[in-house]
Amino acid sequence: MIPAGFAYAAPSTTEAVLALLAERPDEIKLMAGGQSLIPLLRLRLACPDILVDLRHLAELRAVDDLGHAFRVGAMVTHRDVIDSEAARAWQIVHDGGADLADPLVRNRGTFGGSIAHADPAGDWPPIALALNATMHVRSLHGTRTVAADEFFTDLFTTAIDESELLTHIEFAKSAAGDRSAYVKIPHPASGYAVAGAGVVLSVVDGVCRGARIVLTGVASGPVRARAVEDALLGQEITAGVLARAAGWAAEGIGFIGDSYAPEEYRRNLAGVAVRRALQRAVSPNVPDHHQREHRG
Amino acid sequence: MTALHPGAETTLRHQYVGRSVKRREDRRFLTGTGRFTEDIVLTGMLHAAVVRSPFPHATITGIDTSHALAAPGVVAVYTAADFSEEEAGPIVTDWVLPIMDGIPDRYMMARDRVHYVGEPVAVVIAETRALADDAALLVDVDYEGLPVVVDAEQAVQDDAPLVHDRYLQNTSYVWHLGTGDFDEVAAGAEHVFQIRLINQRVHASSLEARVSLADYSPGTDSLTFYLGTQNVHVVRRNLALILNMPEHHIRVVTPAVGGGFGSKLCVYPEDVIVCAASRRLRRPVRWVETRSEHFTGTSGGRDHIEYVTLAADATGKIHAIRVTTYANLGAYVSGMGAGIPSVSGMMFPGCYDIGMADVNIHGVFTNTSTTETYRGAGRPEAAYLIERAIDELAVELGIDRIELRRRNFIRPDQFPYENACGMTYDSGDYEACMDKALQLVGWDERLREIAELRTQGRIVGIGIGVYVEFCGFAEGPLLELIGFDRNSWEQSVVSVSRLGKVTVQVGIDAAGQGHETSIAQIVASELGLDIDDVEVTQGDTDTVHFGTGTFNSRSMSSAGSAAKIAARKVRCKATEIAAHLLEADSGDVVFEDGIFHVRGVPPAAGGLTYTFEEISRIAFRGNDLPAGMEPSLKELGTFDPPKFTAPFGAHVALVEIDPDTGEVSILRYVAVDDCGNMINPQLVAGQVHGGVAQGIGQSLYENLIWDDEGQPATTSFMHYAVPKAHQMPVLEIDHTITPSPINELGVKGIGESGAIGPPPAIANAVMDALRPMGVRHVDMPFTPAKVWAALQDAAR
Repeated sequence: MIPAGFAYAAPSTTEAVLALLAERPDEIKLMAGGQSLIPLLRLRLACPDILVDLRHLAELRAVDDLGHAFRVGAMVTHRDVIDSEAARAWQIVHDGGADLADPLVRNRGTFGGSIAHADPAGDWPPIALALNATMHVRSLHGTRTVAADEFFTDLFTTAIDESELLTHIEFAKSAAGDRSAYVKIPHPASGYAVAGAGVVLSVVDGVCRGARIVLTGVASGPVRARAVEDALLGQEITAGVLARAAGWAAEGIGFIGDSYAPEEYRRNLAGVAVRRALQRAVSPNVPDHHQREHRG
Repeated sequence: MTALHPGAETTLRHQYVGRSVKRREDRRFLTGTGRFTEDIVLTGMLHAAVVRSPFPHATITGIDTSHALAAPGVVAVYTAADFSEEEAGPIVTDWVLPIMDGIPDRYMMARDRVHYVGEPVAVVIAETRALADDAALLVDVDYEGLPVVVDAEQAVQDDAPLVHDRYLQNTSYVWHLGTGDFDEVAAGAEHVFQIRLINQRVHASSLEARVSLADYSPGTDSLTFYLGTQNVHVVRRNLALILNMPEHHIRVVTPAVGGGFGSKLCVYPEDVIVCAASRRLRRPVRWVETRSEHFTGTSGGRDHIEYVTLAADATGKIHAIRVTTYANLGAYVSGMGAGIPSVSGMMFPGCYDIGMADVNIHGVFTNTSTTETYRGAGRPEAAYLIERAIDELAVELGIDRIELRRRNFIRPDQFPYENACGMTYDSGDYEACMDKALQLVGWDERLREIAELRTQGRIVGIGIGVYVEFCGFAEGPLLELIGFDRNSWEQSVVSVSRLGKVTVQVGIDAAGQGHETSIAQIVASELGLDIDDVEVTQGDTDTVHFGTGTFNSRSMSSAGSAAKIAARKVRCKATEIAAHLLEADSGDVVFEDGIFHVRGVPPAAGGLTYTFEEISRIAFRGNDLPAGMEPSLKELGTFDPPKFTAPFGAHVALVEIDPDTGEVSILRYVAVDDCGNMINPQLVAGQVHGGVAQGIGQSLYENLIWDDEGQPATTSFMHYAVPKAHQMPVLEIDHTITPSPINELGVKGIGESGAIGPPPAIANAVMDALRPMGVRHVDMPFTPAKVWAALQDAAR
């Protein structure tokens, strides 16, 4: 179909976007690459009065090294994230970008767009959550930060207020002993996660001192597998410990199901994805013969 | 065959047949300069948006079009009530079996009741497509829901809701094939084996969806209709009947078509809508299908539930086959939809010499979109059925599956062979073909590897599918007997311009097959000319006088043969003119490297010569021709295939299953196909590659689903998975060549074979892998969730 009619604006400054948002917050849809939004517009599942295209916000297109952290501008494309220092520092960032959609989407779609869209089977939301990222949102009234744990509130819903703009995503640089990975089991049609797991571990002297394990594709949004985290903390990292911990992946999670992947199957995949991600995090160079090759 | 003196042999330089000539079509398709229906923009063109039923079964209690009519840019809003029976009658189909009590009336828009989600109910015609889409949302339709049935086997139960009140049951027909008493044979057999198989609904999913553009000209009361179709003349005839227009006042044109696969053979409701609207409004009207509409409105394929019983003796020799099929026709009978399940039945014995058959095919209405021809159309269902059954029989009998096949194959000395369902196979050597595939994959070595891997806990398996199919729709009298309202013959006109350039008209319509190349190869070879001097014309009822179109892999065997005959006639006439000028007997005239001369007096020896171009000029001038000869060079060739061809092949798949996720990976894929002679081996390879991709799609991914309430669940490429490049294994393809004795070229057809081999090969491999795990049966598609669940069940 053809999208319903809308007014279009493509301001060149963040301030101009914020002014529009302040004026007519409930009539505006922001477009940050459009790789998810345009299909929704065409199916008329989204019918905004005004489409505000963020493409000219050059100030949001950089990945900054803050010394202790990376600050990724919301308009950085998937492609540029993969090519950034952040992806070299964090295996999980590299994995997430490399297996995200196809080259065309990666060249147009953006990191911030994906996170603000909050697709429950998306790739960046679970990674942001696993990295304990801080979201910077701005309105005319100022800037505030939201912790990833408070950011993803429901299906396609975040803590961003309708008068606000997500400007940056900030996460710590990796320290010695940090291990991470993202493993996705994709739907054969859409490429979205039927189940995916992002893991970030802090390993000191062979013992797990920090763990953030996040699932995607299995529930109403990215969700932490806290039982897995608890099973890892304080434990010496061995193959047995990882496998046992992964066995807790489904604990406390409200699974979704559909005709392609019923609830029980997704419950199984959650464990598989977590186990594979943990294995990949601790030994990233060991090829898994089931690990699908990256597309593109 | 035409008994004319063919002149001398074509020299090697001009022998294009059998060579991998590069596709002439590719440059324009790959550089974006192909011209598709949507590329055509006419002055004053209007745009149609179709309002569709959200209900699978409901009575329409009211339609309010007033808000839509008042919307900006809207020119008209029509419902069925706005057109008389004379202006737009029921949609004509091409295949009504004589045992059917007619077919349910299907109009371009539902009259008082809808029968599937997506059925057209109203249409908005506006100045732009966007405005038409906007206004379509304003058409207000009231429905009263009715009970729904979507599964063919449930639809034949006594208490099933009736899809059409006109009939007292949902069974449109029961088609019986075979003779003899199965029970008697079974009573005397040592083994009677039964299996139930589901051949799920799949969808052609062509890259270019459907597009229809109608341009009515009131001054001449004529209609030009552009659309992507596989058969312009069939569309013209059917439109003439539906619209009550003189057939010769209708011109149907199909420009480039971005994939057909059988889904673009019939007349669809939207085709009638744009034609009727253009006639009413006296302006061109175009409709462009969306992908969602494509999934809900365009016909799919397969959707059979089958019960197979084999009766065999202790040696494994199969003496009888019984099959009961429940074939889902959808809510109406579309195009060839009714005939596909019944001709499928004719292939149930497969490659095997089975003495008797008892086949009953139930064609059943449901509240789903229609089924139709889809790449293979009946033969994939048959091959899957017999090849799955024979593998399971081998397990039951404890006989090696390869050996069991050898014991039952039709032997090469039995051809032509009529099977127990009445189908005649022209030629074949199934064992040789199978052996080639076994050798290519290293079957015995693979078996040893698999045994070793299984001791390591890996879930691996290998499977084979040996198929025979039929192509090149033939036997006119038989076709008439089974209610098939199309011709088997093809005609071709080869005409030469005054400057010696050649145009070939063919009645087939390419949807990506490469006819412009392959037909030119045939004609250039026959005329001994450079291929660049030959142009192929197709897809326009004004420039091609008749044709039955591209389907059933018939283009080379029928149109290719007709073109060859026409070219041969042209060559004979040119040779006669040359003989006249050279004052020689035509039997003494040689034509080589584009030059006519007297045998034994070549140009090098100073002999008198004429080029093909000079002969063309003389033929057109008409002043120095043999007595009584008509001027110009233009000949009609006709070919009517006396019998079907029977291509065959053996496909082997080696698979591994991930025990954690249930995902099936294809580690090796070997296809050995026999399509008789090959006009262009590279085009053959392309057909095999594309067909195998679609066969792998059906095996592993594709399934068009409606939920129990009749709502479609797979309406986009987000949900309906066709294999993408990274999901394809490396294909190892080879051939055996058994020429067909029934046509001019010895070809059998290759367009559909690729889609026939994979389902049985992959299913047999998957079951080979799963059987040691205790799994007894899984139906296609072998999705990870389904395979994983089967493994879980078996482990309990």
